[in-house]
Amino acid sequence: MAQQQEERQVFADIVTLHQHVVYRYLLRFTGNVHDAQDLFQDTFLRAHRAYAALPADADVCAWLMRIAINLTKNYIRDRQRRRRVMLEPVGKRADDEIPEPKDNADTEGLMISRDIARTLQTAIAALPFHQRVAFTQRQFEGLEYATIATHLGCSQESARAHVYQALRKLRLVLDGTDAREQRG
Amino acid sequence: MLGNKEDNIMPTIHAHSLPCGFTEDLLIAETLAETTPALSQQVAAHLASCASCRTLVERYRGLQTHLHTLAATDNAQRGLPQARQRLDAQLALHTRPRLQVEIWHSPVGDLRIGRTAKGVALVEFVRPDEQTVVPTQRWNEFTLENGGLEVQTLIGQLEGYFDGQTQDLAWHVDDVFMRSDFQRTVLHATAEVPYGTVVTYQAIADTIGQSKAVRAVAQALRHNPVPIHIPCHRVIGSDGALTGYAGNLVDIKKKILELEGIPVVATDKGLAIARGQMYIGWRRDRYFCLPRCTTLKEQSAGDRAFIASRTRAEAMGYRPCDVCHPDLQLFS
Repeated sequence: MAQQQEERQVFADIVTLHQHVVYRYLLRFTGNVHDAQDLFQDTFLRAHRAYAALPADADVCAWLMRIAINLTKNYIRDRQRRRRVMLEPVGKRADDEIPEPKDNADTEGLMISRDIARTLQTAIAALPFHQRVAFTQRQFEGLEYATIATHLGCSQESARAHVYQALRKLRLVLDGTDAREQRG
Repeated sequence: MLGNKEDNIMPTIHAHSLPCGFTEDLLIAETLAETTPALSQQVAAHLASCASCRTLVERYRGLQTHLHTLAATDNAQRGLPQARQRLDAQLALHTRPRLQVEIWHSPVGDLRIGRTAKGVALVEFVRPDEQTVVPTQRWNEFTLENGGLEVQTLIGQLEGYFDGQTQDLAWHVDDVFMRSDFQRTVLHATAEVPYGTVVTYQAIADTIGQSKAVRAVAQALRHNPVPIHIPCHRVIGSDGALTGYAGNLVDIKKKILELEGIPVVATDKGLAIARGQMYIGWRRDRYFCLPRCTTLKEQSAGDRAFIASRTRAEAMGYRPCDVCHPDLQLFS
């Protein structure tokens, strides 16, 4: 019994240590609290089941992020499937929360119009999965390419290429210009 | 400034050539301050002469500003406290049962013995090359514990079995490591085969009412998680061949059968029980014969059990055959 309690405490400590990183990723990725909370729960319950088999020297943070990323992949797939069934246009879901720009002193100089925020959020959500993960982690979490590469199971070069591709697409969206015209 | 590691990444970026011949990715790298000094100079030289690229860099800078603002206005931790509360409530429900495990150096090689509160879950042959491998996936559902008094008791009982003192381990089994309901049915039927007796795979298939599933029965027995206690070693091929045991451990099957008094001989097809030296018991009609009895053909082969001694046959409640009178004659 004592051993079980000890084990529970060890896992609770792991959650406390990594919950911010994992949650931040999930919220950035899904763009809404409801889905982020569900995926947060799934991530750590899955981790809890597999934790006993994790080697002692494993990188726990990277391991948790890989679980979270896999779950977001399923999440995207399920949503796309649901959309197809419901014939719902991408990015027009009522529960896609776009953060309200805060009108306070901290961000006054950084005001962003609601339209641009919405355009960017929609464009980010439309990125291919790997680009979206790499971009979110680099741009919003400031992670190293090497770290992103371990999360995605790709090379550093690919991680960087994903981020650059994503930026290029966002730039084109902001320009309001079709990609083909740009290149031609 | 970036380290050397990232320096040698840059030359591999060459996608998206612009109309002016310059690389768009280099412009992105410049706005992110991810270039090397040399490349940065190259970019600066190009920008000095190319107006469209200057515009592009401005656009990327603008995009970065928007993205920074987006990040700053968005509280990325909102909802976390509730998420954590829900998780803690869930985790409290997920208490994993204990699995006590110990390796015992048995007379037939190392055995991994495991038990849960429900009963014996595991008696596993540990192969020499496997000693250091921690079995993973299947064990995730458990809190592992090393040894313990209860496991020592099991080992004591197994010692009795290998000394010939104990014939029935009378254990409770936790079927958690059994793979399917079919396997459970097969192992349940096998558990009924008594000490010092062997039956065929066909006999087990007949017992569970799936006469054609002989090979499936053999596979189910091969992956028996509780060998010795569930006596899959007492199940053999229709021709008397030992066939296999836990994969390739047929020598261990021989040792265990001999321990139970069952004669095993080497034939040109491999190891087999010496059927000529064993009584044949009819499981349905509860009587036993000499192997040369003239009535053998009247019964179904799948109903046979091979019994090592008369005493054992009688102890199982089998009566002697009226035709061959196994009670009046002795094997030479």
